[in-house]
Amino acid sequence: MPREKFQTLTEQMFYILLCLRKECCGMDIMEEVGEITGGRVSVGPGTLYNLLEQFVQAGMIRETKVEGRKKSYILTQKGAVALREEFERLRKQAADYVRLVNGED
Amino acid sequence: MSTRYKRELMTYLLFDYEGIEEHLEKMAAKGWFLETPGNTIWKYREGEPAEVKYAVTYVPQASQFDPEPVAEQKTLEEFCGEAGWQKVGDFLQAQIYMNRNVNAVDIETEDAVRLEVIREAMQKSFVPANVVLTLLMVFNLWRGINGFFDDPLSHLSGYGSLLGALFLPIGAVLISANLIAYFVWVKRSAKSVESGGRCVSPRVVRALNKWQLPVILVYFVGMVAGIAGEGNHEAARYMVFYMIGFFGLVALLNATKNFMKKRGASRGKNIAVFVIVDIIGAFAMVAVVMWLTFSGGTSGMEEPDPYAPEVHETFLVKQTSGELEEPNIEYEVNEIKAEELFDWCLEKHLSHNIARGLAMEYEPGVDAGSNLWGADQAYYSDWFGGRWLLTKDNYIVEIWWADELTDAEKKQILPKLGIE
Repeated sequence: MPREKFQTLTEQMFYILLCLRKECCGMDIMEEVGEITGGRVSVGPGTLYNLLEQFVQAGMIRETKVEGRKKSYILTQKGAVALREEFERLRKQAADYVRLVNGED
Repeated sequence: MSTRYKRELMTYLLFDYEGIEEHLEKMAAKGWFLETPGNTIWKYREGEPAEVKYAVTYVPQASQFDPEPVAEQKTLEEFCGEAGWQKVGDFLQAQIYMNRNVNAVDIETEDAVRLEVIREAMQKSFVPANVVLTLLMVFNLWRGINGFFDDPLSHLSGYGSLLGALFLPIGAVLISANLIAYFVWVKRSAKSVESGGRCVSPRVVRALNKWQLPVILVYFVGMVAGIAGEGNHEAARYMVFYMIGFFGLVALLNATKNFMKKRGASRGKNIAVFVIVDIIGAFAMVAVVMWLTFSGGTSGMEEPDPYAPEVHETFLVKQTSGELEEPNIEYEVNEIKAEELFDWCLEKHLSHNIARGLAMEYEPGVDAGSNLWGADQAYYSDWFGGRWLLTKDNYIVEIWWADELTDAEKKQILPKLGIE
């Protein structure tokens, strides 16, 4: 069955929303995601641009400032809930792994 | 030293970003860098061969009729610029970027998002254009099939006509193949990204599409040569002039669109002018082509012999038509070489004559039986001064202006036409 949009978040979606807990300019997110993950996760400019548009349409982030073509965003309550739910899902996955794999060891 | 440029026909489908990227990177490695991407012809500038990275991304809001990039294109360009990507150009909704750092982060790093944007972009141009083309081809194919079954003898008696009849189904298959390929690619890519994979590569359709235009051109040349070889020079000239006129009209429309863009005209105004020029241009083109085709005339040439027969022949049917001097009748003799086709050709020819709307009705044996002609079967209509359709062995013969013939003359007709 096809997944509902943003029902689960990909890594890139997760880290973009994580960066937007504080007000942030869209273009700065590329660098910040790289810093948070130690270079493990990269968000391309095209993907970032499209995801920001989709998050705004889905009401998960909102624009806070527009300076020329530079826009700043911040997470909304809906976005915070989605981020939290994704974190819980990943935490349960990690816990299942620890319980089953480490338990065998 | 002046910079050299070269032009190339772009054969990649709009959604084939992978093929376009690979091609541009190969060209750059040979020292040719994309300067201007048109809708069909791409212009390259010569430079030092280099290993660079190209990326194709899409902005659904973009239009070829905009006087300048829309806000979405400009914003995307700024995002890409931050990551070291330089915009080379755009065509339709596709945006082309280049990066001299081959290890740079890709513009698109999530294929689920990329696929969604491509689908939205293709709805703006690729899908509607190909749907219209496919419907037009299918409509013409339907008319062509009707025409073929309505008068198979004319189509089967000339290689040019036979090739012409096949051109429509071939064209319909090629045009619809692009549309089908796109929907298959979307379906397969959606399934792949759903499970975390990447969009699939349309390698097969890319290879087929590369050969589409050469195949069509070779077929077209063969068809024109076949028609000219049958002696139908007017039809051959018409087809050549029409093709030249068609490409001329396309060039005019592109020039009009670019002129309006340079003048800063809005998208709506540009489209309106484009449509008006297209309609007027199409009518003017047909008028000019018709005039060029039929204005050749025969001045300075010898008058053709009015009684020399005109012959068209393939391995299926030989058709001989002309006029007899004595008695003065017009005729068409069809020799059906393939026995299996005879009954079908006769049935179609009879219904073809009736369906022409000339209210011709063939009735068997009206004129005191068919023995007067020495034919196997005889059908009659009182149109065109008395019209007869006769069959003898594997021949189907039509004769016009036969009402004044005497019984003795009727007996001589088939032998005079070489049918004993």
